[in-house]
Amino acid sequence: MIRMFYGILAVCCIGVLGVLYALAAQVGIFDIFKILLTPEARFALNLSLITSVSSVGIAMILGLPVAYLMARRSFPGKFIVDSLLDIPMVMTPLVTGMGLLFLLGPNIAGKWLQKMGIDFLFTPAGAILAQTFIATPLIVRSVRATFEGIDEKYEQAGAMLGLSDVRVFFSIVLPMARNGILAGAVLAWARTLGEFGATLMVAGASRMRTETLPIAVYLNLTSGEIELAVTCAWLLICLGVVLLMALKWLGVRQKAMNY
Amino acid sequence: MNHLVVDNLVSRFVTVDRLEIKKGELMVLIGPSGAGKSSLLNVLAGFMPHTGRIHLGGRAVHALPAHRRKIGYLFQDLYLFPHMTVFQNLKIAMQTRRLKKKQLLAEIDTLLELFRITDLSESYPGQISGGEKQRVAMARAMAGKPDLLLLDEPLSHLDYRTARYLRSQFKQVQQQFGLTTLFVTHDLHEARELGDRILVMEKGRLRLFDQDSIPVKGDLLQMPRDFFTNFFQEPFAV
Repeated sequence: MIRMFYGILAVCCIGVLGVLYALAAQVGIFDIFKILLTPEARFALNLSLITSVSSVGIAMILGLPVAYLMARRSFPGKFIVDSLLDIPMVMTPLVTGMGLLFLLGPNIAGKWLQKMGIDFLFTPAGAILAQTFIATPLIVRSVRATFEGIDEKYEQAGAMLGLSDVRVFFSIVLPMARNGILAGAVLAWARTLGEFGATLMVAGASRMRTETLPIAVYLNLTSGEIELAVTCAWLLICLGVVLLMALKWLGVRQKAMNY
Repeated sequence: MNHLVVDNLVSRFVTVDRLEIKKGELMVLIGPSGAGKSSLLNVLAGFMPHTGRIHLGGRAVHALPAHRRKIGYLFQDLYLFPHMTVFQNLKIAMQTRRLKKKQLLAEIDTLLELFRITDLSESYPGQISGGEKQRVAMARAMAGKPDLLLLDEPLSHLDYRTARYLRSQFKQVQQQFGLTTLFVTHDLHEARELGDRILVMEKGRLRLFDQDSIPVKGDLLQMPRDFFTNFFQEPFAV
């Protein structure tokens, strides 16, 4: 039986390697470096980094307090709130994006936002909003598990030293949860870097305007510029591998700290 | 003069009609598992809802949140902050006292010396032994100079020799600092060695004994079979 399992393992690895080979076969390594210097590839990389970092930052600001509340406090309707927070994780990004598009359109919140001079639709800000919507539940889920793993008595010990709630949170809870928080951020960052459906719906697919790396792959593939599409795909793969390594390293550290 | 005065305290697992502890006194609270000893500490610390009044050094603290009561608490499992060195664990305990840097460092040095942990000041809790952690935790609990120090069976995980050594060390420092202390234990030897007076708790109720009236091993079988002797007979009969 174990032999059969090894066989299945080999098939899985061959599948991954096959996909990588298929992508590599489309463009030579020197061509990749040449294409990387084109304005469009650089724009897509920059926009992807800006939108993903911004959205993960905002998702952290929103997600950390929510995760703490969900981990530590009981309140009426917590089960419903908990389920509500998970809904974006089970929604197809395309559907999430469609919902955001209608919400921000001229009928509901859009009018009010327009009066305030804020425009999300078909702008890079829309990409950040869509990615934040996708990233926040991931961060809440991941960081909540970390907070739940820290014995509440550490906070009580802090209170008994005269530390206020705020001080306990920033001096004790956050440093103790550091690796879990970083792991959540890396996971969310990987997810937002590759985010396509929601971003397409809210920010649109405008060349050199809302062109993140996944949008660049889509635009260039559909317009027949395969080499640029594949180069952008390799950029995504490389960034993903770096983040995966960071996640594995954080996992090892988390085990070693063993709070 | 009474430093801690508790009146008509009622919580889920504990009822205290009246409890008084004098300033600088080391009161030991003893009782079987599940009697409500830890619950009483948690109520005094402000972690469990209760009715009734708690006065500490003339201040009414029953309505205050835990961090404003000026009560130190040494938990059974210590809860030293694992991401901080021994020095940082002591430093954070002193920060509410708003000392000048020089005085802060001098006081930390004094505590490190008193508990003989100077060599460990740059170590993390994960790098030191159980007995050393205990000493660090005791030093940290005292560092904030609380009005009342609560200790929940702090020596129960240690071997007999280490526990005995730490008991004497703790008693010495407690007297030196004049700290009003409520020390929970289930060990009668420990209670006799440490306590100025002893409280016995059973089923959430308290009963007070002076040192002189605490039974010693040989006397126990001759004592009336009230809940106190019932409780202590078993361990001594072994």
